[in-house]
Amino acid sequence: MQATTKVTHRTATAVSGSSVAILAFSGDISSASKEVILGEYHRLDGSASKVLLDFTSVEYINSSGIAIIIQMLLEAGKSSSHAFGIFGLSPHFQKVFTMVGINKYAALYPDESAAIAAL
Amino acid sequence: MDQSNRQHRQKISAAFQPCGRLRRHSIVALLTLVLAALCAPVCWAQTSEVPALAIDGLGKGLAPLDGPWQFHLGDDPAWAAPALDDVTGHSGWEQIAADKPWGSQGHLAYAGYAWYRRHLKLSPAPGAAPEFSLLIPHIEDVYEIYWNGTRIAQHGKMPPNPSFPNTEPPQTFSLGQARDGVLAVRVWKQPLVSFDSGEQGGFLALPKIGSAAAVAAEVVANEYRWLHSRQYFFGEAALTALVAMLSLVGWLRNRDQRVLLWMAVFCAAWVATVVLIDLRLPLSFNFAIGWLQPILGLRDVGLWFLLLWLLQLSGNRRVVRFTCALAIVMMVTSSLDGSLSSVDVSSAASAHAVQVTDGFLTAIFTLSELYAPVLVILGMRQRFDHSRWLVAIFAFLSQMMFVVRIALSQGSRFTHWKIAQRIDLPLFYINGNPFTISTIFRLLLLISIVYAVYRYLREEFQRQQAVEQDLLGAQELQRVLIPDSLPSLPGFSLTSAYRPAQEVGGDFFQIIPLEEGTLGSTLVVLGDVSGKGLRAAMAVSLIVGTTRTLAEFTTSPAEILAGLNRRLHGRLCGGFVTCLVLRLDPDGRCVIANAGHPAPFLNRQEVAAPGALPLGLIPVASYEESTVHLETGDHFVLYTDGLLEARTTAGELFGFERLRALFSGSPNAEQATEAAIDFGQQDDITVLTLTRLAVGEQASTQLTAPEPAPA
Repeated sequence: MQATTKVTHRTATAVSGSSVAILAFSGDISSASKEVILGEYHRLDGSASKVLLDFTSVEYINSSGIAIIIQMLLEAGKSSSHAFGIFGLSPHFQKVFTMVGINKYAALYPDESAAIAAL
Repeated sequence: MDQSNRQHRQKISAAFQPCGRLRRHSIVALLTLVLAALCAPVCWAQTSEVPALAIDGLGKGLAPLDGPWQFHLGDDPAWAAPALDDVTGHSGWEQIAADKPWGSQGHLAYAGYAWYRRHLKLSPAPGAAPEFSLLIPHIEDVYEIYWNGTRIAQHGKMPPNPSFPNTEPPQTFSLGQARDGVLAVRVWKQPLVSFDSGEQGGFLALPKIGSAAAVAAEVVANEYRWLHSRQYFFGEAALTALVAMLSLVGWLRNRDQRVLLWMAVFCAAWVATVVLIDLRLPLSFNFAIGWLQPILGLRDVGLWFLLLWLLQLSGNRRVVRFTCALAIVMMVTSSLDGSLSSVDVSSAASAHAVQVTDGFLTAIFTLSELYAPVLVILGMRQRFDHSRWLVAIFAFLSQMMFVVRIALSQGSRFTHWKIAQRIDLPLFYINGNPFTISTIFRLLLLISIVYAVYRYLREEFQRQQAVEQDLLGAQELQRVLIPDSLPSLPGFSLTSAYRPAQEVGGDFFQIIPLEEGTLGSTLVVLGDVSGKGLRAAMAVSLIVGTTRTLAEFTTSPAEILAGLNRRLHGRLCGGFVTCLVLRLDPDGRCVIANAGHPAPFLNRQEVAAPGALPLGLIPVASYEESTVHLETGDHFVLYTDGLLEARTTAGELFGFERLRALFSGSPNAEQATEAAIDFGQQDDITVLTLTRLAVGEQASTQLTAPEPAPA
């Protein structure tokens, strides 16, 4: 049985001093997660130009879940509103994200501090 | 009272009959007058005593113990004594009738102890049995019977921890060879609950007296009358029980049809109330009422969920969530209310606490009853067919009437409103069976629900049939699209295995021998459409057709992927397709292009392939090609992510490490697939293996695929 996806929004400050929005996911990410993930993304205001996606508490991502992440990144790429980074992925999903080309739209970092330091 | 005085006067005149025989003799008459004058003070003195009810010559019939009974509130064991001064007006004794409760005779809302007394003069008819028996129709709630100061019977248990039957037939008690004496009845009425009118307590109908045989005959006749007047009611209960049983069996056979489960709950709950309350089973009041409350709550919950399904509200998450929450509140409230019946209410403090708690819980219960009409109003935003209109109308009317009846009966001993009692009055009788407005609404609601559920299930069946037809079509489509035989690849041993996770999956592969100009090269295409079912099968059909068309114009795997991407963009409803295309030349050269698909394995090493977006996400995409050379004995494996992401029930992934270990053993496609299935299949699994043969070795193929669906 799939665990429900939850998304929490917090804010951090990059080394450059700019504001960074962090969307932290938990549970499984699948087709059922579309509403909650895209809904939370759309609620982001323009105050943070950089967005980090935190997958530390994510247990599983299926192909439909990957499609949702790609859709969000492509949407951001069209509007050029946010620069994305991703951290907290297990080695397995780092490999899968690279395989489907997500790393061309969002840099992958091992953890939050590495991501904040790189921004 | 008039009848009693008349009997009393008859008794006195009978006493003077011998004097009448002496009227012919004036002297004797004079003496008689003198004697009468002397006796007069004695007779007047007797009128200040309680008059006895004389029952003479009682044979096969029964005599009602009517007329005024001496009555006293409170409790004193001395009140059983026959010689007690119970004259009206003395020491708090008064007179009331025994054919109606004390609550309607000046003692409204009284609960607790009280005593009834009746002076009797009994004499059997000549030749009749000398023993007398007593028939008590009903007394609220516990009582003891005394004859001339001796307790001869007890019904129920007096406080503390009182207990008494909930409903029961009239009770019979033997008085033995009783003649003249005093019948005393000690009664205890439990404290009133929120809906009691107060017009209760003590005798509800006249007791009767007669020979044991006459009383037994009356009991049988009473049973017959009771059963006769409830023919319709028990018939309705049997019909409802049948509906409940069939619904339950239907649900057990198909657990997806929850509407059947809720109909079973709704019907069974009402049948359970009939068993508890109306069958005259020897159940204690505490037990019956303790279970009645949660069962009534369950019936309401059953109706709510029935309305959710029938009025097409089951798709509204907020309504469903609220209904679930309210169902929990209802079941907790009604269970607590029922559990109050087990509290010992013999002390004033505990009785008051129970009354207050009962009032509070009943208020919540009553408000919750309004939810069914609210659901009907919410459901009316949808378009109903006639069966759903009937359910909506009768659910609304029956529940609103129930709410009005309960609400008006609350505190009626203070408001003195009689509307709730009038609602329960029969509108008409059929063959002695009463029909109240509640009876009629209940029957109409049951019929409308059964009809609506029947129509609902028929629609579901037709919808399911349409889906199954679609799936059969999709299976047939997939059977055509997945090769049922493999072409021979010179210089290679080829195996394939395909195991869909659902009836129609989204994996696909094609092996397309290229035209002669390519020196016997072969195109191998393997991919995975996100999603399953008919939509995935349709996408696969589009991909296969497009790939074969593109292969006529180019042999470049990257160009084929780019062409596929252009045609798939905007046609996948937000999904995507991962795809691996490779061109295999007879000399072992293999050109690979990848669109987001897991890279193939060469022996135990993953082939380096640049990551790229899957097909269909962006309108224009370009893909890179990489080349590997397969040497003799090399084992080359292509697979879909169903193999990589097989999961145990604990959530552990098969993963790349296990994959590497699996492929190091050079399994064929079927062996690799079985390993993932044993681990925990979650998605379609497709595996293709190619083994480069030495010169002179015979090419071979082996294909494992699901059995075609029966036509």
